Amino acid sequence: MGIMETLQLLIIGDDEKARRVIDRIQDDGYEVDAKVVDDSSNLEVILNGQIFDIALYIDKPDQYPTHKFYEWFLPYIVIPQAFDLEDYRNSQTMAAIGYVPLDELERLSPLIKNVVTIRDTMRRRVRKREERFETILNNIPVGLFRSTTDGRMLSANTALLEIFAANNFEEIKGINLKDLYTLSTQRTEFVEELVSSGKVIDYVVDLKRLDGRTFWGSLSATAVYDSNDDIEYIDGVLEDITERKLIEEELRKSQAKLLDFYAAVPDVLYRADMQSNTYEYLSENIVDLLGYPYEEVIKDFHKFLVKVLNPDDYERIYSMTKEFFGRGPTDENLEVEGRMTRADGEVIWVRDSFRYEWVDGERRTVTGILSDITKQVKLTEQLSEMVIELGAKNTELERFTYTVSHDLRSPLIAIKGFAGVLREDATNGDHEKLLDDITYIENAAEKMDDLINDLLQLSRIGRIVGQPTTVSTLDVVRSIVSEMSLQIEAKGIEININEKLPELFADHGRINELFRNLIHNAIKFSDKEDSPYIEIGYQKSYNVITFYVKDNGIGIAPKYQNKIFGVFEKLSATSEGSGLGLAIAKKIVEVYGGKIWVESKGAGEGATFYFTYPHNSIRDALEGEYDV
Amino acid sequence: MMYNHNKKTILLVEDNQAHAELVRRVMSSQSSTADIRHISDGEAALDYLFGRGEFTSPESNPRPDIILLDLRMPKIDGIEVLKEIKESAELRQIPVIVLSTSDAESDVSSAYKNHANSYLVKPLDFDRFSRLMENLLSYWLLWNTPL
Repeated sequence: MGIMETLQLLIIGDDEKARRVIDRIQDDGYEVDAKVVDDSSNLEVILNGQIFDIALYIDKPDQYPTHKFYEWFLPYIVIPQAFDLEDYRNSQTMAAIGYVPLDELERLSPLIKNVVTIRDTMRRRVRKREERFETILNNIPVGLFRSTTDGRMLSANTALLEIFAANNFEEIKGINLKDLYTLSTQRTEFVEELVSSGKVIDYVVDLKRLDGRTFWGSLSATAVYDSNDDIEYIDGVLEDITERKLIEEELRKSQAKLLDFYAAVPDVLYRADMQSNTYEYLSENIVDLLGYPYEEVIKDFHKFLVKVLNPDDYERIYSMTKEFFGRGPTDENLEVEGRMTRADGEVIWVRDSFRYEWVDGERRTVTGILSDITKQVKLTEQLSEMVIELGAKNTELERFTYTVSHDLRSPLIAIKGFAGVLREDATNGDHEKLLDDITYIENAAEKMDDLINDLLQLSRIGRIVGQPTTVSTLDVVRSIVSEMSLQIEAKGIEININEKLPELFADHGRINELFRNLIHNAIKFSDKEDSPYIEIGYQKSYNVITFYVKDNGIGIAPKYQNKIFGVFEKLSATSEGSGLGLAIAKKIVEVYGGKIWVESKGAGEGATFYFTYPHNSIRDALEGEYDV
Repeated sequence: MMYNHNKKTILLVEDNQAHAELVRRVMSSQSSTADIRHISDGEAALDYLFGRGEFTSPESNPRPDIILLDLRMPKIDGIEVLKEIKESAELRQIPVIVLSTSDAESDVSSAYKNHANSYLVKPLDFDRFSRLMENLLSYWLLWNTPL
């Protein structure tokens, strides 16, 4: 048996009798700590301040304050001066554990022994329970503590000590909790919240461990009040959420990164729930793409698409989409392209590449990318136009080489042929024919020279670019007409020039050559018999200017109208010229990005040659004019 | 083999005056029996063959025994003329000899595809030109006269 604990006695009675009782108990071998009061008037104060094992009520049977003992779970023994039956019965009624008159004090010993045994048993049980409870508390992986509002730690479980990297409770007991906060304001806020509402839930704080490392804690606490309704202490839970915070932070960062990527993509990314038709994500640059406010677009994107999508494309895309998801779950994307009308009326080409997420055979979400492919579409169109154009140019080039070799060989055959004929005639002494032969040779040589000159000129058009200047087409036409006045007068042609012929910003030499070839052509095919007439004028629409040279000459049958601009194409075997004039005119017009064509109702009906000049060149000319 | 001394009519369709004159001169120096009719474009050639326009009189415009045809001509080119001749039941038996400055593969094949009887490239060399005309006349007029 271990050391017996001191017996805490509360004795109500006079000192002399109390002494006798104490002596008696001490004689029985108990260590005694006794509080002696001679009346029961302020027992409450005493009982509040100290825990007793047993109360002894000496010689005061009329004043039993028994209810107090009940309340305090304090066993008591009544010790009267002498045995009195009625008094004994009263004591029984009032649950005294014993009735021992002063002259029978030897009976006290077994009673006290019982009380002590019960007390010790109870204490052992309580301790066991406490130990078990403590183990539970210490095994709980979250920190539990009790502290005061001014920062003293009253108690803490193992987990809390571990959180703060304390080896034992003593280490943390001496520290003011305020000093464990990285930010003192957080401690102030925590206490203020407790004072005002009595509790704090999941308050995230930045704390320091005893070794100085910081960590994130989540703090929940309840205030416990004393009888004056002041906070006596705080019971709380502390969780180390550093890891959680780090993971959250990582997640937040990677989400932010992802959102940055989304925002950096020039295309529109979207993801929508198929059931509710609501958007989980829709890039803000949908606003740039279509020019409508974000709110209007996101409200019901599908309805919105129907609104902006070209109706023809809608039908096509709708059936493609239906066919696509009709095939059932797949990882493939569907790519569709169509025209959309922006808020400002501009029509753009958009590609939508999207896929469905399938759950239980149903489409759950749709994820896709809208891209503005207007540039690509236009480039592709331009490219195919260029390919066609290039093909035409190539064919033209082939024809050109063919024609050139053929037409150059032609006068050579004549020259060599007539040289041979000439030799025979000379040998035969046929002198009359000699001059004839020589003329044929000369004509052929001259024709070849013309051909070569015109070919040189034609090849220069594309290559040699004169400095563009402001060219008055009126002046150009007037000077050509005056140069050709001899031929014009000889044929009696009436010339009519529009006095308002505009200015162009172009190479003067080329514009001159262009009009020269057209006017020369008109003069050549004018017939003196039909009161010939040539008109030079222009028409203007908003983006092109169209010049024309009109005559009432021999005209051109419709089937030849396409051929006449080709190299060496002549409609008359007898007409003079190399057949390159209109080819040169065509090439000049094409260099400026214009078109040239002829209109004629047929042979004898006259002809009008038109050519266009793109508007921007005219505007350049006008701007040039204003600058001067 | 008997020589046929009857006068033969040769229709020369050629837009180049110098070439036409050259052919005429070379041929007449080789055969006095050849009557060379020169036509300078394809349209007129068809008019002659079908007896249209200014060529309605069969006496002054006899049916040719042989046609010498240039390819590159104004209005209607040689290939068109060749096609019309070979599509005509009355004319398709007349031998058509294409006489061209071009030795381009496309021209040769297009001529033979349209049933030209021969394709000759005008030689630069005068002696060869003469020889060609001589061979042409003897082969097509003497040896290959349709029965």
